[in-house]
Parts: sequence; C-alpha cells; structure tokens
Amino acid sequence: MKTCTLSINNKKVTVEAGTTILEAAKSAGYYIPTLCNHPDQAIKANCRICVVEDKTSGKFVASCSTMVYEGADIHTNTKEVRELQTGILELILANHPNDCLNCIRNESCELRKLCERFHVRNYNLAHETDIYPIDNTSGVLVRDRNKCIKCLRCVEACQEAQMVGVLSPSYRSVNTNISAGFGENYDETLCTFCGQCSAVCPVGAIYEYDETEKVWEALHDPKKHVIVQTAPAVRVGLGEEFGMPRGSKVTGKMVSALKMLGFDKVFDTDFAADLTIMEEGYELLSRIKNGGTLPMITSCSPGWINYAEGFYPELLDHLSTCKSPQQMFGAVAKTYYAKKAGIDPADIFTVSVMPCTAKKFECKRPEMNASGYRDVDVALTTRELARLIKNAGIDFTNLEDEDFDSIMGASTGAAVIFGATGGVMEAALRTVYEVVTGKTLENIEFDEVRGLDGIKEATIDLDGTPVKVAVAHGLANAYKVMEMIKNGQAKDYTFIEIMSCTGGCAGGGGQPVGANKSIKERRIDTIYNIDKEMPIRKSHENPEIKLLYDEFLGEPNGHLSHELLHTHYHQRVKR
Amino acid sequence: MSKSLLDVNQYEEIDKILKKHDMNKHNLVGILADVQDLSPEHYITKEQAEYISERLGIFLSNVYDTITFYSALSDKPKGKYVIQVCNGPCCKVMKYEKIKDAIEKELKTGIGEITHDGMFSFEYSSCFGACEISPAIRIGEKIYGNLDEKKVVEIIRNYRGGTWENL
Repeated sequence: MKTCTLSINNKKVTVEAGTTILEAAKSAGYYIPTLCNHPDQAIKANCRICVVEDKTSGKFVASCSTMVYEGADIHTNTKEVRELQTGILELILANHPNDCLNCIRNESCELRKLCERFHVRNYNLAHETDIYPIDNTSGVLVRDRNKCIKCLRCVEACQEAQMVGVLSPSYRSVNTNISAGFGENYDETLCTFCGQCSAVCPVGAIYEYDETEKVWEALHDPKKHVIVQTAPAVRVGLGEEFGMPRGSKVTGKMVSALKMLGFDKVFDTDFAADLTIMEEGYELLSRIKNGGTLPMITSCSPGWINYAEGFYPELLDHLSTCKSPQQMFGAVAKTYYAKKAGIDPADIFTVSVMPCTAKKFECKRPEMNASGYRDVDVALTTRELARLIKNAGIDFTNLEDEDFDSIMGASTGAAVIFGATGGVMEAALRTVYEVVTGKTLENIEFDEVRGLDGIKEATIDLDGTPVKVAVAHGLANAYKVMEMIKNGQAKDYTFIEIMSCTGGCAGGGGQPVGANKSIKERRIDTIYNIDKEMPIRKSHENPEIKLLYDEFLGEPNGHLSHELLHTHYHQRVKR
Repeated sequence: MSKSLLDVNQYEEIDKILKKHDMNKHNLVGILADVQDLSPEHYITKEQAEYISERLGIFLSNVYDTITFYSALSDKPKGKYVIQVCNGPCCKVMKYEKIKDAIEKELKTGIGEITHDGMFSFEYSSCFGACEISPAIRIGEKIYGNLDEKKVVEIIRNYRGGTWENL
C-alpha cells in the first residue's frame, strides 16, 4: 500500500495515498463539517462547507474532493477557515426557512446540527427564502423544495443508485432547485417511491408522508380493534432512533412499546413472510413443472414492483403473483383472524410498520382489498413508529422484552432474513429444497446470496437438477438484470430475488436517516444473528402457518390463496 | 408518452434533427436548440422533450435540466420576437437598466413576460459578447448596441411595423 504522510493541524498522520483530506482528518481525530458529502455517493463538492486551508499551497480547498499529498500542511481550524465555514453556513441559512420548531427533521437535521456546532446565533444577511408549493400529492413522499439546500444527494440516489431519474436539478445559480421537470408532482411521474431520496436528504426537504395521526385516531377509537404487524428490518433499525447503537436488535422492546401504545394485538410480518415463502415456493415449483414463465422474480418489494410496472411492463409475467408479506398479512387478518377472534372485520384496523416508504403506496393500491375491506389501513415507516413512541413518552431503551401475540405472531429464521438482501431467496431455497427432495436440508445457510455485492448468483442442486438463482438489490442492479432478461441472456436462471433498496429492507427508504453501507451491514449482521437464534428456521415448519393452511387456506397456491394472497400487475403510465 | 399530442410530422422532424446530431446525447444542447427552432413560439414542449429523452435514452428530468439551464432554451412559449437585454458586467457599467425600463414602458410588459399580442417576449441574457457596443440587446439573432432610450424604442417600433429588416 502506498502511503502518504501529511500534517493536519500540526499533527503528523500517515494515510493511504488517494485518501481525501476529509478522511485523513477523521483519522487524525477531526470531524470536518460536511453537507453534500455522503460516504456511499460520489464526491460532489458543491456545498463547500468542508473548506480547509492548505498552508503549503496557500489555498483554501474543499477537503471532500482534494486528495492528500506528501508533506501537505493542512489546517482545519484557523481563523480564516472558521470564518469561511461560518460564512457558507450563513449563506445557506439566509435562504432556508427558519421553521425548525415544526420541521419533521428537527432532531435529525444535519444543517441544524452544524448551526449548533458553529454557534450561529445572529447573522446580518437578509433572509430571503424561496416560495415553492409543497408537493404531498402522492401520499407517500412529501417534497418541500423551500428547505432544499441543493446538496444533490437525492439526485444521485435517484439517478445513480436507483436509475429512476425522477429527480434532477433544474434552472441555474440562485434559481437552482431539484425537481421532476415540467412542474410535475411526484404522483405524475414514474417515481417508484423507494424513498432513498428521503433517507439521504440532510434536511427536511424530502420526507415520508406522516400518518401517525391516523393511527392515534384509531387507537383512541374504542370501537376499533387495532392490530399491528412489524416488518423484519424494523427490529434492527428502530433502536437507532433512540440513540442505541446502529443495528441493535430491539424486537422485544418494540413489542412492549407497541403494547404500551395501546395496540390490541401485536403481530409479526414475519408470520406473513413465512406464508409468502409457502405461496411463492409452490408457485415456483408449479411454474417449473407446468412450463410457466421463468425466471420467476420475487414480488415482496413494492419499490421494485413500481419500477417493473413503470419501466418493464412487457416483462411483468416474470413477477411472482404473490402479494408482499404486508398485504398477505392484511388479507389474512381481516378474514382468518377476524373469524377466529370473532370480530367483525369492519371494526379491525390494521397498521403495518415497515422500513419502507413504497409500502404506503402499496397498501393504497385499489386492488389491495381482497378481504372485502382495505387489507392494510395504514403503513407506517420505522421513523414514524419512533415518532409514535416518543410522542407517548415511552422510555424505549429501558423497556423489558415482550413476545408477539398469537395467532399471527409465530415466525421462523427464514422469515426474519427477508429483511436483508438475499433473504427471500435463502428462505425460499430452504423450503423448496425440502419440498422437492423430501430430504432434510443440512446446511441451511446460503452464503453465496448474502452480502452487499450488487448482483449475486448461486446454483442449488435440487435432487440432481441444478437450479440457478440470482439476487439483485438497488434498482440500478434491477435494471441490469431486467436488461439481461429482455435480451434473452437470463434464460438459465430459474428464480431471481430483486429488492428495491441497497442492502434490501435493512437499507430501506423508511429506515432511520443517516445510514450508509457500513451501518446497513450492521443491521444485516443482526438480522442473520436473529435467524441463528431462532428455534425454527424454515418457513414450512412454522406451526401457526401449518394451522392457517389446516384451518383456513387448504393448500398453498389453492383457490382461497389465489383469492386472498395473489395479485396481478399492470403497466404504470405517467399521468 | 402521449403520442396524440405530437403529430407524425413532428416525429419525423425531430428524428431528422437527432440524426443530424448522430443520435448522440452529448449533443443535447444543439438538438434542443434545433427542436426549439421548429416552433414559431421558440419553445420545447414536454411531449417533444419526452420523445427526445426516449430516443436518446436519457432521463426526462435531465432534458428539463438542460432546457432550464440555458437562457437560450425555453420550456414555455415565447413571443414571435424575443428581446434579450444583456445584464452582464459591461452593460451593467453602461447602465442597461435605462434600456430595460424604456423597453418595459414601450411594450407594457415586464421582464420574463410576453406581450398580450404574442409579438414580443422580454428577458435578461448573460453576456453575448457585444461588450464594445454596450449597452446591447439581442432580438433573435440580431444584436443592437450603443443604445439609448430613444434608439431602443425606435427598434421595437420597426419590429412592430414589420420594417426591422431595413434596420
């Protein structure tokens, strides 16, 4: 490794050549302020707040985009640097609304934190904010361009990581703003609602459409029987909102908090994930046997579904007809559970807690009413659940653990790994192998489909028949896979898992903000640890799933299953 | 894409322009300028932009970015004649504001607007290199310099009367 020795604030540091000054300073114990910089993204260097003084050249440079060189004499805290940084901050503030008090990102705003750090108390620049209408037309994501600081993180998330390209800068100089173009609102575009823009926004310019009030209303309504389901990835993200270490496992505390909030039953989406594996596994087997469209692609990720419906309408036959676990849960809750519990489904209010913004779009789809009612009434993101808990004044970090309620609360290790990229594939393989071969699967961990590589492949031997599978996450990788299918290069694949977000649901657009790849990895590690600790690790062994088929559904892929648990897709067009 | 809004002729015209620019997305500015010239109202419609983005395989939002970045391109209809007042440094020194005020008074129209008869639209421009004859304006491809309030009003009246080509 080629190294480079330089001095930062008169302290000698040796770093790898090609490191940025910003990173070198971090290793020397200095946090240089940043706004546009994001560890998972390309260097943008447009906010300039990371300016430092290079005394060797006598220049002030942006530390995020300037590489270290041998013998450089860098200063990060001189009078001039501090004045420049404060000046840049004040210029941003002069164009930023002063409504931190009622801003949704109040606690997690990177700009506000910098103001605190730089002790910005009064400045003499004229305050001139933009006046753009707030776009909340989609009911999923809200766009408040007035708060935008033009860091362009959302643009990179939208164009590079997701390749959806709805967001782009427009106009120039002081008039620059980020938009979909031609004055289109979110609901008029082919936005997939993955929410990655909202997860990387440093301020309150893009955020989830908050529906916590609707949940409070239901909880306060004595006539309503309010039940909640929590997705696998929520239990490894929620703790971050309460200052717990990134990727903490908080399953038990989350269940306690939900019970304290007043939910009548606290169920687990993992139960529905096991159900999804049963349906999807049998669907795959039936497609293989009956010459159905292959490769079959998973359909759990609503951001991915929106992408497929918008950009690859001609390939929709490849999607599994299975609804996502969220929707399966809703449909079963208002039929099977209602019957078992003796409650009129009209009085049942189902809330889901998801690491995802696109789940809001999914539960509002007109066709998602198989039970005769809205299957899922409200989908909250992890961030909104944290808001509910804080709102109720619950001391989350000190809660005792509690267990999910029965009869839709039992789950398996196969279900919890749905929260990580490759998890649905692995869970499906665990079940499909045993169903096809009739043998017990010895090594149930499929390492080839785990990890953060964009596209992963594996070949599984199903009693002499090799089955080739692939896993992709992040829509830019979905694009690559879909182009392969379109061009006939994916014919030897049988089954493909696609997740809209990098890292799968653990890195979802509704998870606590401020995540990057290493944080997503920590969440994923926790998910696999939970899987290891589970007594049952295969979906078809879930006792409550067996009961559901015995008492209600009959058989996987049967008539009732098709009515309740399967759906159809149609092309999305721009409005 | 809503095909009905763009008649067949238009597709052919745009295809010709795209071919002239080798179907190269890096020539987007030139393509957009040529497409804009198809319109007597000097603008690029959303339908045209959608078609271009589809043919070149680029995001519509990026086409919009380019249109709005350059003052020579527009996504909104403009007047038959587009009057651009330079507000660059030289024209600033030579007090372009006086010229601007005189035009506003004559057209009864402000910057960024279009006269109600659709004859003129009026906007600022960054420097177009006529510094030696500043303050200067540009109408279409013609540049007029060394202006004062009287001269500029005369120019506008010539355009209105159809005798501008004699200027």
